[in-house]
Amino acid sequence: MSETFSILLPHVVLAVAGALFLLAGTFSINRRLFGPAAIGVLAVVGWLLYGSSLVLAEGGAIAVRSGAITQGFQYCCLALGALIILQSLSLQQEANSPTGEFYGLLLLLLDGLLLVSVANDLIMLFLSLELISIPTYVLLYLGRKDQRSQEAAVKYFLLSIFSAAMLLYGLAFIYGLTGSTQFDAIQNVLTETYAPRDPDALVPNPSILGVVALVLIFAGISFKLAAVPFHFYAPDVYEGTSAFNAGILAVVPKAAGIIALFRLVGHVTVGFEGTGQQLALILAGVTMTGGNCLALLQTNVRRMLAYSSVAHAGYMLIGFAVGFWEQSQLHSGLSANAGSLGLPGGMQASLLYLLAYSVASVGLFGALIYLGRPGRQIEHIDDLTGLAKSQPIVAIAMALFLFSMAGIPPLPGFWGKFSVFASALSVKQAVGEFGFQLHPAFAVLAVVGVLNAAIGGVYYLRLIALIFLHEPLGAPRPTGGRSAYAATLIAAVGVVLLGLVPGPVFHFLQKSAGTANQTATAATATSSELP
Amino acid sequence: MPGLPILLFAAVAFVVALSILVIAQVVGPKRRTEVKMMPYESGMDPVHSARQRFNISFYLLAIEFLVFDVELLFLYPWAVAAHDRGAFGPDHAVFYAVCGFLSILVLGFVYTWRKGVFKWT
Repeated sequence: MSETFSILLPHVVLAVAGALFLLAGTFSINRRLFGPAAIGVLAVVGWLLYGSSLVLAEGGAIAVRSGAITQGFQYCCLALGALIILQSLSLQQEANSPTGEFYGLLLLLLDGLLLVSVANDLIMLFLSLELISIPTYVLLYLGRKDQRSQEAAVKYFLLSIFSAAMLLYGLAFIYGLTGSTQFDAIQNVLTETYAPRDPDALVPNPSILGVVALVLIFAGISFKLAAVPFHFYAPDVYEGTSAFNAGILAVVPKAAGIIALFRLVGHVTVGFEGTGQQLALILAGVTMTGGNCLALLQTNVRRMLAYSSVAHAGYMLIGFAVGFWEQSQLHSGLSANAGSLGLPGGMQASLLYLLAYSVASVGLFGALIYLGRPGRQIEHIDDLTGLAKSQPIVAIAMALFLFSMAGIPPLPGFWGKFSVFASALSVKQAVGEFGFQLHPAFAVLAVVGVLNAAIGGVYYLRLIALIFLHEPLGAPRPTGGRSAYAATLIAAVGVVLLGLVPGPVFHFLQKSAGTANQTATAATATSSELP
Repeated sequence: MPGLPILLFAAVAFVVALSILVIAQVVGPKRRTEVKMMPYESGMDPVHSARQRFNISFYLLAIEFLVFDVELLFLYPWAVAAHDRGAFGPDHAVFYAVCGFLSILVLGFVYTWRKGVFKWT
């Protein structure tokens, strides 16, 4: 009980603070205090998280469980959340602006993101995903007051609810299949049925129920990732809403979807690895290609970034296809040797990619916030023409973010792409008795990925060329404020640091991947003794 | 006879209800104006086109009502469960859990109040 509470305490503090911000917005308190106070709350939560990490390594199995990767993810979320709040400081200072609601909802949304990463129960997972979605709907309404913004909000609202229903349906099938909502219990039931340690035991074919559940869960999470058959909302919503909201949509739901998949794969997918692998493979290929090809055609900056975020979701899904394969190897007794190159395994590679993408994305949208004005945002890519002449520092920062997204070494986007593709190429297929060869599907996927990186380079470099090689069409008058400027620069420094010194992140992911596998097997070993 | 108290209760309830109706019918004054004959004397006109807009305050008030209505529904099973755990359980967890739940609702109530949802202008 108390251990559970000690994991939950930072999240409870964050939720209560969010509610108090909402309430404080109705009193006449100086609007300028809200943003710094919100950053302060995040600092306190970070400190509490640090404290709870000392209390436990593996927590109670009630609804939450913390681990090394989760902790790292949470610290990154808090840091990026602070950057996002820093960007918004000058956005919410008119007398009538709903500042309290704005920051309260931001804190609640971040709380949802942190809770997804510790969820150890299907219900907890679903509720924390909703805790992200519901504040997002309101934030989309708060962003702008014109008709396109309303359309964007309604579009996101309806499709998001639809996808949440599909996800819930899938989770319900998992419950129906195993009779439990707890990840550990589900893992035990599925392992005993589909991957028993007794080699003579009769292994049934995977039930159609589980396959349906996996498809539905993938559909629900693909919406959050904006993966291709579920990406239709992204460009319209990004274009219709403000640069700030587009930045949130580009980062937060994507991180939530990735970490939710990270929690689910290996726990509730035992016995269905083949299906999951195929699903992730196909989704990854289609998403990368679709996103990149459509991004080539765009002339609106936010629309282009929407399609580019779709493409990035595809790269991240490669890692999960590999993750499914690694899990199936784990159960069939073979060791997945993705770590032999000194690189993290599939899902860890995806997390690295997510980190690289998020930092660049937050910075890029921060630059757009800085360059925009309340009534006149950066819309057409021509608005950025010749930016290097008028705003050299912001132009250099934007170039860094775009180069990182394109995957130019030595920026973090390169390390992300490198480890994802390397993990795909580490997948081996048994040939004959002892021989191994490259798995053809994964090899094709890696080739498609590299080709896509080249396609992606075209539109990123086109934007960079516009910024640096052309004369400005008009003098931009940035009014995004000094805080957005500072946030952009901090993100730029982060990109450079992460790119030049990726070693610690690689090492951390690799180390915690090893312990995660050990604890997974230990959990299955000990839990068979429990009633 | 074990069912006698219930029978008595039902009988008394029936008599009271009937007598209220009869007394109101016999003693009460009756001035039948057009407004008084409407089903909802101080509400909206009940018979007109359904495709009409009405004040958004109705929605907000209805949602607020619904929240507290459902909260009450939730409290009954909670009370039974708390009783089964020996009043409040050894660590009072059940009690504090519901306190947290109620305080969230109260916070929401104060928020709507401060936002002026209950003002009819």
